[in-house]
Amino acid sequence: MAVTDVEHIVGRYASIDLAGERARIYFEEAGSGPVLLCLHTAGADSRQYRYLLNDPEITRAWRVVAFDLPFHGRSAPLGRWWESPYRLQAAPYERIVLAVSESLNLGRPVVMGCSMGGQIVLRLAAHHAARFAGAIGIESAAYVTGRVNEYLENPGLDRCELAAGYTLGLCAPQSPEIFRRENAWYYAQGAPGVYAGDLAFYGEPWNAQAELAQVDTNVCPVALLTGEYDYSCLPEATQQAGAMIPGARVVIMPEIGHFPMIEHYQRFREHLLPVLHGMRQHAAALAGAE
Amino acid sequence: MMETFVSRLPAVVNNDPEFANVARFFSADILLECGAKQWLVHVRDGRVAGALGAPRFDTPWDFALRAPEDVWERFTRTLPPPLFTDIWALRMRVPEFRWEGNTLLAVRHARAVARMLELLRTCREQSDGRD
Repeated sequence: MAVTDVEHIVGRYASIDLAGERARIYFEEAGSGPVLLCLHTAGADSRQYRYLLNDPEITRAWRVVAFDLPFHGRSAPLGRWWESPYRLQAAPYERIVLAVSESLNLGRPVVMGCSMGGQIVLRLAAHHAARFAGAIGIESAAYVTGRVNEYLENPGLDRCELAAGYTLGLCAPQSPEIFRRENAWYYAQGAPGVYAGDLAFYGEPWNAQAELAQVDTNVCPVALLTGEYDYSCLPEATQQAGAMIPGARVVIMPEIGHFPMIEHYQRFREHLLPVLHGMRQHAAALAGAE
Repeated sequence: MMETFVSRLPAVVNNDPEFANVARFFSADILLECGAKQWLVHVRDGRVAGALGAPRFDTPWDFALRAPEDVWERFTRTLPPPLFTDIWALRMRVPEFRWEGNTLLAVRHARAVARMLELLRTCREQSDGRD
């Protein structure tokens, strides 16, 4: 019996220590080589990286690892979650990424995140440069105003359906419909309140200008890639963040919206591959020096 | 411009499979405003029952979607420019666009409302093809 089209992605669970609590984390991976650690967007999960994980040109050179944050996808919620609204905060978010990297023995990965993941990679580069071989921010900004959608917290409507419709419109009109719809489907599967609780993280004050100026891109190179059609993280906001980081590379991607890795992977990879190539040389030099 | 698009709206929307699917439980009177012109779009159980031009000032409506003509002109292009792609983009980034009234009703049916507005692009394509 012929079995066709079995993908190379392998998904597993790991229980990791998170500030004294055991957190059950789901992650999936493909490929071998230096690690590319991928962070999903607010209210979503690691399935957003399925096209990257299935790209042989990438997985020949990289071990790609993508995990679901607690409360997202197949990762379990934390603590007595039924007693208070879910709220993501920057410091615990940073700790989760560091804990996953350490617990899974990922060494010194290149970390890549989109949207809220794109903001946390900036904080990781600012605070923990020596732990990463590079940071790639997709739809990344130091701060952006006006992006909270208050209706996502309103129990008088179907918040999951709203999240799906809302994120559908965050894609570029040029992106193939099937991929835009796929992303919206994943959004519809998020737990009520999680998307809104993730977005709350953007509201936290952060002295980005002072901290980003400290990022040493010789230690941890930084690249920021943003779609021209992203109305949430505006290209100007990415350019502004890039200007704060000496040596950061900024790429504005035509005809792409807020979810490049899923809404139009084939177009996104044209911009990503040269960035990864540069990061790989840096990662190899680091490995040689160690 | 907009008159031609709105006149085609009932037929185009009522022929759209996605609207039929997402609007099954949607009924509302929507005030659509383009500059100085207004229409009252009646939606009943997922079908556009009519689009009445120049309603009296005291005709009640559930929610209003208002913008100057140049905003709708950009929004209704087959390939709209950035920030003019979607109703939520207008709401976040285009201050001339206003969304008023029972917005909770609108957001409960946000996908249906968004789809109806997207279909203005089909109305425009049809009228461009004819003219």
